[in-house]
Amino acid sequence: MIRKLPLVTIAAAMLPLVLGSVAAGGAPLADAPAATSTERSWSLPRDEPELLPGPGREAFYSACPTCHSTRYVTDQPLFGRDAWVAEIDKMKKTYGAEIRAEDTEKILEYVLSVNATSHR
Amino acid sequence: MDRGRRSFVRLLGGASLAALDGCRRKVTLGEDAGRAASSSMATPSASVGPLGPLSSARPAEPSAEAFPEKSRDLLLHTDRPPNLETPLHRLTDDLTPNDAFFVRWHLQQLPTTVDVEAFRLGVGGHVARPLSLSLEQLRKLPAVEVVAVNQCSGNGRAAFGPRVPGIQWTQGAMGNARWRGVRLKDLLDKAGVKAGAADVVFGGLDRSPVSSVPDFEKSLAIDLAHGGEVMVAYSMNGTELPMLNGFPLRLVVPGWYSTYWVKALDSIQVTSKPFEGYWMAKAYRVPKNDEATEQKGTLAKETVPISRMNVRSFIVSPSSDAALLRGTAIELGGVAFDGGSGIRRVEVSTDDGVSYRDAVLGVDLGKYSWRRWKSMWTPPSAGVHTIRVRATSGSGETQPNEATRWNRSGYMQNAVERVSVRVAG
Repeated sequence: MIRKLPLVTIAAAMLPLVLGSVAAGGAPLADAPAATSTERSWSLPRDEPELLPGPGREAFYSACPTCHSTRYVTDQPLFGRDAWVAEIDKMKKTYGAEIRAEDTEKILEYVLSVNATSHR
Repeated sequence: MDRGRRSFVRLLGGASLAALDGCRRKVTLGEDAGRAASSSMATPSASVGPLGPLSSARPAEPSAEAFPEKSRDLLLHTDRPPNLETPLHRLTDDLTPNDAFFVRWHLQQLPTTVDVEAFRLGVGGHVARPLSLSLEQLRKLPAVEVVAVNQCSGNGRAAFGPRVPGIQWTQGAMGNARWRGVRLKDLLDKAGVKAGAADVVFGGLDRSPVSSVPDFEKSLAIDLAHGGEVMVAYSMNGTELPMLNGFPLRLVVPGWYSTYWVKALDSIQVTSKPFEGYWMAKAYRVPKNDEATEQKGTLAKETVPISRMNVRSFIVSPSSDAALLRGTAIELGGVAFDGGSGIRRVEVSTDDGVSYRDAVLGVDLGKYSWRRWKSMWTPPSAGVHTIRVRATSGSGETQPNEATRWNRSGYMQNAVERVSVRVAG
């Protein structure tokens, strides 16, 4: 159910996130300014499964990966509806995730489906 | 061997070995865990980690780019932010190598560029003389060292039943290292803490991409912060800290869970009122009772910030897929530690807890270090044998035989660990 995201897709999906002076694929930007002698830099790999098509996928991708990898879903054991409702609620109320009201139910159905599929 | 297809079984007390077919084993560990485990085993999955079906973490694909300064055999829970677990076979040493040391971050923007000359550690707030210290200045202050275990509050979360959400750490969200740096007390004295100080708040360079997520800030009461044991470390196992473990500076709070060991530390603020930031007031809290336990249906009304580690011991070898022979002696081994009273005793059982005998303790690197243990065992018969280990701390604390502790966040797991091995006749 998980396949690797092509690099170009990762770049396209890059949200307003910044990983230092690092390109989406983890390689340093070709035109990045030369590091001063006292500067240390590291590049972080993206190693994120693209989740399969399904109802609610668009709503999911418009919100959740802004802050974290899709692995935050695929790392989880099998949970029921109540647990995922609580998680989404926490992301909205505690962490301020910007999820439109009409998208909440779509995201819920999608993560339930992803979670169930990964434990089938 | 393809690690992804290999099924390890490393269980905690309370888990029962319901079926064993030599390749895949069914586990039950609380109702929900049992369901999850069974369902994930119906179809052989490529995602099998050290706790078997309890965790999907596994090393990244060989084609994937490695995380900086980290070995490729770390188990990948999440890549953004990075959360990487140390596999058990890298926990065989007194000191865990830096490239194998586990990684845990909360916010996705990490300090991937640090100018070591421009970097400053600020010490301010309720003090007489605020400080702004360069790394060079810090290195000129009197240095101290401590060997201490750094363990995530959620190490063993995957073994909770019912299961709880969060990074599904199995046993490798921990490591033991020699930390070198300056005493926090010395910095606070240099800054001159004013009368009436309450807490000391620590912040790092990591940030969230959205402003609504609170910065990762942790606090310690002034008495602990000023007690002389808490350290601002610039070195780990004789070399600089890996970026993913907190370069250039990390707070070291010996005996306490690693949530307090703030990475990429650049801010130390003394407060005159108790600190009530999100990561203290809302997150990393445990039920306010001796066992840090509650029931899923009736959550504890009162919680407190998690603090000192409880006593634990682990079986590092043999792994559950070891090839053992009846009548051929092998060495059982692992590690044990607690929150600072030291390890008094480690006992091993090779009959699934019916009887225990004392293990031999290894070198003592201090009360905050883990201590290796070993014990020789000659399998007496063919078939499945279950090994257990339990530790007793210097203060007399020991481990529960069954995984009876439960809390909503999956913290402070310390039930007796066990591993089942197949012995050929």
